Amino acid sequence: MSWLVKTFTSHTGRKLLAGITGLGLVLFLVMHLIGNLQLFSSSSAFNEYAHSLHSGFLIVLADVGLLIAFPLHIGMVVWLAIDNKKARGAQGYKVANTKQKRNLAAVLASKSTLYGGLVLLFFVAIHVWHFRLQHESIANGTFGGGVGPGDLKSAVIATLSKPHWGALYAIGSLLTGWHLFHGIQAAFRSFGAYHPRYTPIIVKGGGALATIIGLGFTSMPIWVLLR
Amino acid sequence: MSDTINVTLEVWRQPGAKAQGRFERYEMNGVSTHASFLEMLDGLNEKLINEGKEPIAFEHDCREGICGSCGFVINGQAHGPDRGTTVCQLHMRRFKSGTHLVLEPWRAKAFPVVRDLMVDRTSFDKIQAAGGYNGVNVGNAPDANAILVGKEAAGEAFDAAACIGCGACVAACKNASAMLFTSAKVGHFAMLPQGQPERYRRVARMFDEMEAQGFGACSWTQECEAACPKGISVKWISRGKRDYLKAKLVKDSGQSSDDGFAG
Repeated sequence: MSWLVKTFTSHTGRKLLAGITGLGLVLFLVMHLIGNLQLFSSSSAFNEYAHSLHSGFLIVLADVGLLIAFPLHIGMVVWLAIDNKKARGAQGYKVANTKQKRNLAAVLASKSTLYGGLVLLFFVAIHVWHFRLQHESIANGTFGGGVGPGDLKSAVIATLSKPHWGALYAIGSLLTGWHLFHGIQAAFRSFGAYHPRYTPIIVKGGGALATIIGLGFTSMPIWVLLR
Repeated sequence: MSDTINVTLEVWRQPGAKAQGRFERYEMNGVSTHASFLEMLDGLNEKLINEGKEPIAFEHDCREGICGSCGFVINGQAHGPDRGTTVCQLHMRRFKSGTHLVLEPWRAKAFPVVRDLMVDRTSFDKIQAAGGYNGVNVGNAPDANAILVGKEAAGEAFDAAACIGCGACVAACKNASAMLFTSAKVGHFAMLPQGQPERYRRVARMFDEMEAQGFGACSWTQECEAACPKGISVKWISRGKRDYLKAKLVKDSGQSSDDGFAG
């Protein structure tokens, strides 16, 4: 078994774990976004979606999956970051510069993925407290400003219509998109995937998916604030 | 364009490996634009020697951009502002008069400064010694066409073999990772039939040695490719990782560093 531990604690192994868990989290976000978009429906679609989600098996799968993927993703990445920081040595460069000719956004995204992720940690903590841990009280109408039991839609809108919460969720959503802009394609690199025909598709597709996820989630607080 | 320019240099001076380093300023007036960057430094060193001061230590050998000896960071760019070139092939005509240039050595824990702009790259030798060779004695050089290699494979292998081991990839990487260097050395063998028998043991040993030497991990910022004087592609990193993961998780060799690798 020691070979297994050695493999997954090596730099490449840690990156592999970070990549697998990262893509798992992306998959979760896609489902999360599709569900949340029911908010825009004028009917009770959002409330029905929330009710069936929380009374089904899917929520247990998501909870357990996230409880495994999140700590593993963060742990591996922070552990790598510590090694990476040490590798530069005590004396850093006086002047920072680049020789890259890729577009500036791609370069900046690749260098700020870690820092964006660390900020996201706070956002996720607040978000989980807000809408997951207090789900029961929101669902029975004692928290969050819902009109009555089961009226999660009104509760979400009431929360997001407060400017500070709305702004926080908008910023958190944009940051998620920025984090994934580099993260999705980098995950594939961590698996050692390279192909002259498919790699450009992964890079462009990853960027597009990150943009959809980022703007998709941002659209909700913005919509509520502008309503 | 005038034939001479004036530049201000801010150079990292460090008398020895253990000594405290600091930046020192030098004014170079009337530098010929035809001079190479190292020739400009030669001029500065003459001046320093004539003044009874210590000249600036920097590595160089062929000055033709092919040996891999030279290299330092100019204004945050490894080997200076030009792409696909070493610092010895950088010329002063590239700069405007009055330019301020900050010269720093490669910064990496695995590349300790020996003196001034000179670093110790023994760590690269250690990675190479861990598996960057064929462990079988094959006797004298065979006829050129005794082992047939396809045109594409030969071309790809040559692209990877173009690595001169200068260390610019490590210097440019925000993690001081040696991924591009190591992957190029691994990939060069992996493309050729002669490299197949030891392919997975080689990548396992070289990657593990890279980590043991204190280099960082790859964050895929692609700075290394941009800094590489030989334009070695980051695709080698993907290929190297794929081989490493195969070696560790699938193949029955390459799991331990003590697996009887010849040599």
